[in-house]
Amino acid sequence: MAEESKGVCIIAYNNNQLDYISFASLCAVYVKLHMKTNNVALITDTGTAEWMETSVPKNIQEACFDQMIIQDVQHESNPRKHLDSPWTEFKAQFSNKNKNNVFRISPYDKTLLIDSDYFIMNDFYDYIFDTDISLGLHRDAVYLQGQPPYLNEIQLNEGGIHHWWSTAVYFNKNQTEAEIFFDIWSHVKDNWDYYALLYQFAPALFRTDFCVSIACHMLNGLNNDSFVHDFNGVPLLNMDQKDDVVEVKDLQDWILLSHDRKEPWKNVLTRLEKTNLHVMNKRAISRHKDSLWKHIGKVLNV
Amino acid sequence: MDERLERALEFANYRITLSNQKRNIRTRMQILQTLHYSKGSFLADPITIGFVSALLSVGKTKGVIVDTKDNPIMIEDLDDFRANLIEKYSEASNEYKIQIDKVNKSRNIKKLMDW
Repeated sequence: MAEESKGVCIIAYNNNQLDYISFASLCAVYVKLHMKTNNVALITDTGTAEWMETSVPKNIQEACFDQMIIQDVQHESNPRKHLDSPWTEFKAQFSNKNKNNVFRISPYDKTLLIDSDYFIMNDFYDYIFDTDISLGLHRDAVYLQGQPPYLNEIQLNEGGIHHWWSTAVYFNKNQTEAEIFFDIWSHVKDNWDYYALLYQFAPALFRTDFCVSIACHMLNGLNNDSFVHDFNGVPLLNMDQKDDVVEVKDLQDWILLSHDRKEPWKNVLTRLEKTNLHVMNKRAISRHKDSLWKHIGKVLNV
Repeated sequence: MDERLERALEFANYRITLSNQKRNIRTRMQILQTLHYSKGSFLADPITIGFVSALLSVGKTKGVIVDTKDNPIMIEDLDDFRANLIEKYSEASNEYKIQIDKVNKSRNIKKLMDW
């Protein structure tokens, strides 16, 4: 049997507020530098790809992505409220409705799909490519000071099913269970209002985390069984939209500001080294983009 | 503000930051201690190493070990398995010591952040 191909996929669709392609480029370099399985495919649309041609130098594009897959989709309106610290709020289109298509589009048999704001700073995920696991997602998450997630990030409603994270989704195309998972995801997306009613969550914002939570619940036998691999119980580390990046000392050494939920004017400095980080405050990434590229330039000579 | 109070608050802030740093380092150490072996997932800690050593000491060369996911995993070569566990444990604990020593030497927030 031919060896299974392995790699990472990142989806990026720009909007008028956030330059997702620049985030995706940075995250791709982080994969290249810190993972052994580091083929990276970008999934994007024509408009974003054209913007990349003018905004990202060719040698950087080549250093980031092995493949670019253009998927022009009609992005339905899905406005999302973003925060940049507790004090600044803005709305931007959240184009996430074709994320489930990655099962069909991914050029790799074994794929790790990561969000374009997920910075891989170590080789933690490499092990999974050498296993027979069909599907893997993070079941739990923590914030910078070890705080638990917000209630709707633990359960879909107060008495509801467990929340799973779609920030990093591993799947093996050659295994039926993975196909079933993405079929359920697609079905939930197509019948969003029905599932919102059934699982009792607010339907206003389409969230892929909720789709994968329902799919995991079904695949786990409609309970909290352990069929879906949860990356050995390792929680996803989230930097809240209300937190900020203070300084990027080195590619794997970041200083962050973690806010207090009850008294948001209070902050604790947090230093993370060689730790994978989901940077939910997108504008914080934008502010430190130049510094990140400067560090990357030193390592890659680009 | 009274200088003594200011110093006390500064110290309290330093302790909050320090304890958060130590927690982050401990979390990272636990992740580094994970060993993937024979399609199982094991924690390279003194208990697992001690148990495998006990099996070897009574002449076992292979055996079933229950992994962290409660899956029974057949280990064909316990000696090699123990060597891998010890390597993983040493790697994680050395890293842990380096990081903890570094933060313990930092007596204020600026030093913790290398500013």
